[in-house]
Amino acid sequence: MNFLSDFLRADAVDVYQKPVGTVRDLLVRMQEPYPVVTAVALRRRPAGVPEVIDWSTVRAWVDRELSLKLAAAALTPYPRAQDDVWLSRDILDKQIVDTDGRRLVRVNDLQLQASDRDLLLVGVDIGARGLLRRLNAERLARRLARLAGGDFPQRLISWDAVDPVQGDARSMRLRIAHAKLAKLHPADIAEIVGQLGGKDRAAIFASLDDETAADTLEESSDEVQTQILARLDDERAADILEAMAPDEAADLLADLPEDRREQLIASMDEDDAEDVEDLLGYEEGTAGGMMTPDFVAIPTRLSAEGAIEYLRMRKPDAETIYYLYVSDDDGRLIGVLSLRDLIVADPQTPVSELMIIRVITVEPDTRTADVAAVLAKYNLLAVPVVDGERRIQGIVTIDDALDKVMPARLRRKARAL
Amino acid sequence: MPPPPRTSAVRRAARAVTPRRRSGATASSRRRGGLWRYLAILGPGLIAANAGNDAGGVFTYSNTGAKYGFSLLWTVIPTLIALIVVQEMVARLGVMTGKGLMDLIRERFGVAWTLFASLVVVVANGGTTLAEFAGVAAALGLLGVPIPVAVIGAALMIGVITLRGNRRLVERIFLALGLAFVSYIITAIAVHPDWSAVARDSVVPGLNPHGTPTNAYLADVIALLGTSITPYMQLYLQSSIVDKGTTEKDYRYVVADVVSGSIFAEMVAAFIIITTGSTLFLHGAAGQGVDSAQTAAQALAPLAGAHASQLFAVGLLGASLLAAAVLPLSTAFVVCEAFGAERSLQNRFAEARLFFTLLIGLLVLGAGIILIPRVPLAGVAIGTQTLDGILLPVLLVFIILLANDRRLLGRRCNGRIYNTVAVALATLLGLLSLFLLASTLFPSLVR
Repeated sequence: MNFLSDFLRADAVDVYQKPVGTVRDLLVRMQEPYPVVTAVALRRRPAGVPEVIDWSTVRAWVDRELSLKLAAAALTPYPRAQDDVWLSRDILDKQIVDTDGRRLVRVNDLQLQASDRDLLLVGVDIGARGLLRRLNAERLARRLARLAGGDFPQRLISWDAVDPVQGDARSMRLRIAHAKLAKLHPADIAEIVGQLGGKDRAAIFASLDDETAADTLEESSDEVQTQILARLDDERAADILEAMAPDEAADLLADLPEDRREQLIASMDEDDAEDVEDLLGYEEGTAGGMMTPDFVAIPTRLSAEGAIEYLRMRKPDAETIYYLYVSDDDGRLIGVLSLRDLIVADPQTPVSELMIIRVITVEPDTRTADVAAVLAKYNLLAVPVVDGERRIQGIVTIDDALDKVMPARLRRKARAL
Repeated sequence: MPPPPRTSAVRRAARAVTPRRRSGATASSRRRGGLWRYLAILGPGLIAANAGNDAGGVFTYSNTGAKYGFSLLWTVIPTLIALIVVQEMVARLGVMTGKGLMDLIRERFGVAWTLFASLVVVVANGGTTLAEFAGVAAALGLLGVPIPVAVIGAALMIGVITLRGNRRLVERIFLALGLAFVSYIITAIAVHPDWSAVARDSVVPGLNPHGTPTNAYLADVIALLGTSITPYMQLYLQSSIVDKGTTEKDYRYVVADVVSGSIFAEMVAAFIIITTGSTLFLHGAAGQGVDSAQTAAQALAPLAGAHASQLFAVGLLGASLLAAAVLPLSTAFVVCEAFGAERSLQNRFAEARLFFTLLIGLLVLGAGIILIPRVPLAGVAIGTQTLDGILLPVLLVFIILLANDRRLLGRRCNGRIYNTVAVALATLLGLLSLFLLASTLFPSLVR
């Protein structure tokens, strides 16, 4: 990931590797969705090098060094305008306010991303890591955090999520609009919600539909989750919990005080409540604690065509339907087949001939790390959790396992903004 | 895929979040001009200048008078000019940008300077708050109140006022606390000083007439300047002008506020020097000084009567209380400005958590530590003086650079002549501050 602060410390060299100064600032052209870098300002220049040069003369950006396509003598000054927007001067360190004009946080750093030949301004860093990066202390802080056994989350919000307030060249303020919020990816909403006070969080959640609210809640930290639930009335909270994946809902409920948990489960839809209650019975950190009861099981007697028809009729909302688990009449797991096997097979072939009989499984008390190891070893997208009688209790999907073994924020970092 | 957002619900929710913030001045005062407008704008400048005369300030002035008589009175007018110039630039920055000093430092000078300055402010202001509570305890002790009652009572009072009261009420109470300083003027008149000598020594520099070692004398002169112009005054002034919402059209009233506040504050300083200079100085303290503000007040009783002593204690109480309230407030403003968190006395707790948490935390810490027996207050004082001595030159450089920024201030940026004066004064203040720093760290220099 590239940040403005990396560029601001960078040396620039011309085509003959001769130093032409260090980067002072980057000029952008404001455009939707992401502003594009058009020029670079240099300081500590040798004589004859213009102060501002066109970004198109930049050949490469490697190892914190900006190398240009031209010789120092061939560089021409980039024309400047009154309403130029400079990243460091006009955006970095500026205040971010919410729609009511209340101050939230400052722009600690800016995230830049190369796209084709362009460098785009794609995100705003509002976290402590941004601050430490500016002080050249990011690596050290991360190492310390790892020593202390924690991870050090990156806090980035997409440039989409903010509106620069134009018209006042001296102070550029950014604005997070509630109305715009609902259109964002739930992971971005969660990032912003994490920054707000309790009242604002509740207001934002009131404005989201159940599905988006559920997704946002799933992406939020445990602490934020419980705080938000504390402010929602039982009925609305139950609606959101129902919309969440049962395993996520169970995790959340496990963090609540017992009486509140029971109240919420009582207000939930019977089926969903049952799923969640079953999951709550398993210990955290085990396959049981992380599995979801939503999976696709098909009876062994069906043909390939029948199985597809069965899926169409049931319309399962399981997290993954790529694996179809085959069970006998007593509910025992006897095989598995992939959706692809099913679709490419001759319609009349019985499922029992298509399925793989030696199914890789884990038990409810298998530790999280071991579950992940099984998934990785056998290259599976999901693994079924079975009890002593090989009755399938649920499945652990690869993304749930990844969530548990990878620090939560790392996932978000990996997601392209 | 989530369904499209329900815009009406979104808008309703957004509206329900919080009431809009209101700008400071009331509608009724806006219609009137002249004196009424001045009275409406009045506040930040007067409070900031008065807060500079804190417990430490009262001690320094008392000591100066007791040790040197009137012969250092001449420093008052140059100090006043420096104070006005610095405060005016700060007030102008606040009025024109609507941002606090630390806001501007962060936006213009980046993260490293901001962290450095805020860290120094937090520690230095914390230490000074401690000294103010010690001042409250001493003053109320002279008036017969036990220390725990005095300290806890003062902390509770300040906490309740800043937390529960709105900005206007807080400002009025702070102004009222400043009235306690009038007691120094009354005491000074009551001790019948030689007014002709006062008039002469206010203008004619009396250069070290009593044979004090030169370095020690210089250190005393600098301490006198240092206590009148402190970092927290500048930071508080700009933050509170911004919080009040004063705008450019009221700029001249802001200047009037700053000038009148500075004059009042320096008058108080002069009258304290006059009081001890015409009492303690003439009765054995010459060349020695006093070791604390309450010793000065106690020593006044046999010389000028019990009332003078009590009036002096009341002045010390007002000075300490005001600064004990302003310091945590200024610190909270600074930290929130540095990191962009919401801060305003207009807000309720839930709307500006960091702000109020810092405010309360500093109060509790300041008052709590004073209640511990045998706290090394002298050591704390040296530490805070050192930090302020480091910070003041840095802040002065920032203030001058910002006041010259045309993008920030437009036509109201420093003029050439004004800037020359400001730079000269700031350089002098900065050098003196560094000298004070050196003399604090290496006391052998001044002995």
